[in-house]
Amino acid sequence: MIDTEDISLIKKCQKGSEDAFKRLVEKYQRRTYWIAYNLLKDYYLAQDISQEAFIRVFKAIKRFDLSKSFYTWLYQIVVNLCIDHLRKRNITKEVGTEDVEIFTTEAIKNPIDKIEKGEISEQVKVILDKLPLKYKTVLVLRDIQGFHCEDIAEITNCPNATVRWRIHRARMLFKALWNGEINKVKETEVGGEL
Amino acid sequence: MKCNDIKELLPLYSGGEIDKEQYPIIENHIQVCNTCRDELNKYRDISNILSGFKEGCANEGLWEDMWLGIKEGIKREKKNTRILRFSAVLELAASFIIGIGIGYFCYLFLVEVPQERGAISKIDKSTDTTDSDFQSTVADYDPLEKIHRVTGMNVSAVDDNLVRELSLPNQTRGMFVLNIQNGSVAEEVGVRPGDIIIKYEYLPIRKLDLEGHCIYSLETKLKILRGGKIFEYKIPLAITTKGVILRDIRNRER
Repeated sequence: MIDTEDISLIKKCQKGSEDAFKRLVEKYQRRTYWIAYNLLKDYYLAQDISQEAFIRVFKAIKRFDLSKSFYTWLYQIVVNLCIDHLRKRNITKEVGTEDVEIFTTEAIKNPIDKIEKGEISEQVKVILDKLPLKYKTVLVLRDIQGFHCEDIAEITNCPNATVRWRIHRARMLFKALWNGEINKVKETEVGGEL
Repeated sequence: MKCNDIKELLPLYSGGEIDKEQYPIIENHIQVCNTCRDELNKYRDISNILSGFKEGCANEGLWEDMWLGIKEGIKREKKNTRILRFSAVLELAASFIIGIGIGYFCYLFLVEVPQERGAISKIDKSTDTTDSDFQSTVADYDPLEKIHRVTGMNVSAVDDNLVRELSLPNQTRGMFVLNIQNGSVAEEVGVRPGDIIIKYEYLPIRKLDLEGHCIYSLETKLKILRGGKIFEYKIPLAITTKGVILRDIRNRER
């Protein structure tokens, strides 16, 4: 659904209003930042990537099609920048689970406490990093950020069915790694088109 | 549906992405199958954990810093855009100047510019000439200015004083023949000093080729006022690239 406030702000931006652009930034910077952080797990990098995404939006906003959703376009830029960065750093690679603490069922019964301690956070980070990039991306967008499958399809530029298939595989892999059912993701799961 | 089939559907069922018609099948199954129910709970636990990471605690001043960074980036982009535009204008101007330069050099190489206008006798570059050479030669052949060079006559414009002095009709205008060189075309035609040339016209006739030299025929008509009578002379001239030669002389009195 297209946000009328967004359209009004974008029209002003297209006429060169920096105040309107600031309003857009204020509206979307939190989500942008946390998407980048969830994918990169680095506060400073997430800030840089978010800033870069907004600058790219500013550069291209005059050509923006008002019939399309602004936020999926913005998040698409953020996700693509993160993926480019991760590929450059070759972060997403096959790794073992020797450094992963296997949590017991008791440990995850009260996850909020664990999050506060930062232990589960570290565990989630390690497991997300083990997932192939295409699965990590949909898991972050769906289970962490709570986007609908249709939005994820637009953000990742994939068909809806592909998105659902990746969510299915991502959850299975995450559960298997989380519960220590597997130590690493198979070679065949790694790579592929995002 | 078997347990394994249900297990395959549980990842999507736990997040609510499954097709509507499959919900009752799975719900009925998990009520009776402990294994699948445990499996589903594992997915739900993980989902709860992940949803807790939507937003964390941002550092103090993060959002203000982010806007400042974006603002700085925008300023940089605007500057770059201006530089790019200026560069584009410079490139366009440079292309234009280079184009003019190339065009000028092409013009110099392809178009032969006469060394001196009207100097027919000085055109001595080649025995082979083209029609454009001829047009250029004829164009440069200004009889009113160079009449004495071609015909051997020294002339002067007829003005009011001369009209009064010679008792000519008031409207008379033309060229007064001051003197004629010995052996010149004018002498052979029969023009005399004191004649008044009231009309002088020429007409290119044809291109000839004489012993390998290109020669252009140029028929010249003279109307002369002499003693109240008008004489008409027709002088077929032949112009070569090496000068002017007389080909034939005919006159008739009217």
